[in-house]
Amino acid sequence: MSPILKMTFGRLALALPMLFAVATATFFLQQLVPGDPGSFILGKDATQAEIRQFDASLGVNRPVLAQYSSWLGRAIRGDLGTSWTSHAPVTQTLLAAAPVTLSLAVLVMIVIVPLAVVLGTAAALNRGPADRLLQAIAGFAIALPNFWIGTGLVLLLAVDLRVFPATGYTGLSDPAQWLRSLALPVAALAIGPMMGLALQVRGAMIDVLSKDYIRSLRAAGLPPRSVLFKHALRNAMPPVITTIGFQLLGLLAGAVVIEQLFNLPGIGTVLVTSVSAHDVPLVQGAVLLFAVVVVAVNLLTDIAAAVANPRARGR
Amino acid sequence: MLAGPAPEAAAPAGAEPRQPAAARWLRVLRSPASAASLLWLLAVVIVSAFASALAPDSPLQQNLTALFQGSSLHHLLGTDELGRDVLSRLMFGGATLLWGSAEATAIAFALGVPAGLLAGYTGRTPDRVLSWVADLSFALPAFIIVVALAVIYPQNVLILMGALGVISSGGVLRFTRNLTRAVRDELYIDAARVAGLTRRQILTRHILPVITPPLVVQACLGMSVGLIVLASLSFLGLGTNPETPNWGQMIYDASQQITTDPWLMVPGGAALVLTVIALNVLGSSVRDLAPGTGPGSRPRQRARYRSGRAVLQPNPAMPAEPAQAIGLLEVRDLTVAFPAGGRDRSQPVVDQVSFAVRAGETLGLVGESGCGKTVSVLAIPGLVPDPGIVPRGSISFDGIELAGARQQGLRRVRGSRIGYISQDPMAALDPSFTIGSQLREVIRRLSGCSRREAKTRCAQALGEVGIADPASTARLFPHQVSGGMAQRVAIARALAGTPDLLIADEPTTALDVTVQAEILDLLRELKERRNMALIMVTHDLGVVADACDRVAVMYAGQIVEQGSADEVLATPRHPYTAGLLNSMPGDRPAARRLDAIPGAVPAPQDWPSWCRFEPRCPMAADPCRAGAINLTEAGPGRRTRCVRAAELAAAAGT
Repeated sequence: MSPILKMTFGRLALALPMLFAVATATFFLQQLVPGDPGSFILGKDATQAEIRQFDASLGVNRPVLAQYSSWLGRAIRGDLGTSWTSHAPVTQTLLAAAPVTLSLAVLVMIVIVPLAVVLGTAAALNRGPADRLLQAIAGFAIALPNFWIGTGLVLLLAVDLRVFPATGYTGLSDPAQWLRSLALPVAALAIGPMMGLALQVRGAMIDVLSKDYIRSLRAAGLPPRSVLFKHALRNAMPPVITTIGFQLLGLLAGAVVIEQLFNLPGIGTVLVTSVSAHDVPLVQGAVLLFAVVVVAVNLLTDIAAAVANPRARGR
Repeated sequence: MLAGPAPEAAAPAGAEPRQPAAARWLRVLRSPASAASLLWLLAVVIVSAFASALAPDSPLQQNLTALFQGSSLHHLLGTDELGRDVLSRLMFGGATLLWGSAEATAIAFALGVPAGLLAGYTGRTPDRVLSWVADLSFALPAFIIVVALAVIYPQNVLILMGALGVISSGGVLRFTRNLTRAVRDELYIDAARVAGLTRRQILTRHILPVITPPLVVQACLGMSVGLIVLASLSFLGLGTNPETPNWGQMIYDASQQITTDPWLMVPGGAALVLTVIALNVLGSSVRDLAPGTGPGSRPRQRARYRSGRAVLQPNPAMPAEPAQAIGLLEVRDLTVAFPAGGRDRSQPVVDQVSFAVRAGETLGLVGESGCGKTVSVLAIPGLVPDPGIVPRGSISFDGIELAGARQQGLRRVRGSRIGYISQDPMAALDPSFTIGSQLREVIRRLSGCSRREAKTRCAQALGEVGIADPASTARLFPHQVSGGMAQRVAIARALAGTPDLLIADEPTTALDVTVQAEILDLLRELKERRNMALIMVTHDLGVVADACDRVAVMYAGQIVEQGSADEVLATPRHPYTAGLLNSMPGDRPAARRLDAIPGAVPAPQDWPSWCRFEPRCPMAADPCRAGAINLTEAGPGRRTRCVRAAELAAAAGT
């Protein structure tokens, strides 16, 4: 078996028990909620009988372990229950919201990776005032909270200049409007991670450019284009890939905040509204979905880093 | 914390001589940026702690007759949408954030550091179990879980940030474990164990002091992440109670009034951003305390070339070599300098070096490390490492002037006319590409041939350097072959363009003794077959005796002796050459006066303005200290830079 395949199976074997643990934890989250769901969701006007009937319809009166086993059994088959507030299946609600969050994450990555590579490489090649300026800007950009950037962008580009819509989401069926509706959220999410990634690229490139093989390849007569873009960048990739993985996970958290700010109907919004509405099945479903994404991103990062680094593949 | 696992810990420079702890920590304050950061953090902490005494107003006091007021004496930062004093809200608004992020960081470290120490120090089962737990925590989307917990504990900072701390402890655990592991493997820990110290003593006296600075860095970063997390929660309305304002919530309130009064975005935002920046700056300056740790540390190489004495001296007009020796390459007065402390100042590391090589001839460039041999030969194909420059001198290669030539012009000779082999063959091959791939790329670039043709030539080239199975070797990555094999590949690559001159920089130093002879034989054979000129940089006079026709001995950036290899080795005319000869393992009894050379090659800024070898020379006398010593004729085709060369010759009986 190839070393990469072996590593993939190893990580998967580790990931499944983790997902199981997360699923179990999210289930028991429900048990920690004080009071019964009926009285919270139906409100003060409901009668005791109505509340009891509501609770019974949710099945929350059954023994905890029985609830757990049936919940788990259904969860494995992709059935995460029914929302307490909208009564729609949780899976369906999440699948409807997923494209929004996915669009955000993919667009942010498309924006930040090339820009960060260009900025970081440029800084590594021109150590001097430009490099120091980039570092200063990056230090500032990393510290700016995305919701602050987002609000500023709304003021500047949506309220004052009216270039982009301030809030709302247009689906992919209208690509131009889709891009316009996501431009500001993507910008708000991208700035910090982009500068962080640029610093990482800069560090990795400075490290690689000082290597013996770079000098030897130049001495062998390869043109700067090939030395820089084929050999140096390629060798700077493993640490950069790992950082991209971290950034992607950080984006999940950022998306929760930014979707709220821009009123985008993504998973983050599902999570926050269901938290406010005490809609426990929906909260559980969203957390589980995020956990699956984290595990998948970690796995893909590890595989990509191993593919990019022949030394990690063993002899 | 937010972004998942902490990056792998770099191995700490454990063996550094230790300064007193207090002095080490005080160094953080030397940089104005970190001093300012510390001041700002102190100010934030003090203001937050004594907000009720310091703030001009209550943060909740509404005044509906004074909404959205600008800055005034009463309200230095104006008032908000409910007429509340912004400055007062700002002063009260730090405490919750600081407490919350401090709590999360404290919990993460309280759980992660002891567990990481245990896992890293004992290894085996505890390590496996704890590492699994840490891995488990990386599968948790920390921020998402904290948001979800707000279902049960809305606006409960203590519990929400506590949960963040627990989840983040996995990252701290792995970080601490990797640091501890690296320190544990250091030699001095073994020594401590043998000396009979208890585990507790080893941990507290040896491991903790080394791992503390990187942990402090992580703590600073953890604090700044915690601040952003809590501010984000507040922005979502989940984090804190409206009764206790904080900066995140102020930003949320301001974002709701953005069209009416954009100014309100500034105070809360600035306070938050400055605090986060201050924590990050402080963290990175602590990281710089430990030299050479992690990718964050900047190379301090430039600082090494401090402003030195003026070393450039007028050179008496003199041909580089006796006339008949002028050949393929003629280097004259080559000087390589690196920028020194001041503006426009530079420190030479190679000082007016002249030598020449003819076709089919091997020149040995000999000296200890730090004499400028490598920099001298790197200057030939224009590969002096940044930020070095060649302020003077001429490098004439087959009639082409290479000193000061443009990169484009230099590329026409690199590979195709001048080949280069570096010292460490493993480091000289690109680890990310197969041997065949990088060899074919060079072949195609130099000859412009087709892919198929390049493949054939690649196999031929590998066969020519004595690799038995070229086809399968070409498919291997550099880390999959031995050092000797890697050096054969590097030689094949350097010769791919059939160069007229091959520069071999210590080609055998990194190799096993048995392989050294093979590589030397290979080089000699290839040189003869192709009638190449060869410059062999070495510190080993054995290599010179074996392989070189002529030799130039370098010391402290200068050539101190030059001549045919046989003559120089038999009758050295410079005490440094004699010293080198005597430090050879199978040394000759004739020159037993110097057993070894005491001391070390001085750094360029410490070069004396008189004879540079004088401080280490057993024959040093007054004339040696009178001034700079010139290279003078010492017989046919021989030169020396010693005023007592004649005595040396007489004493040796020649």
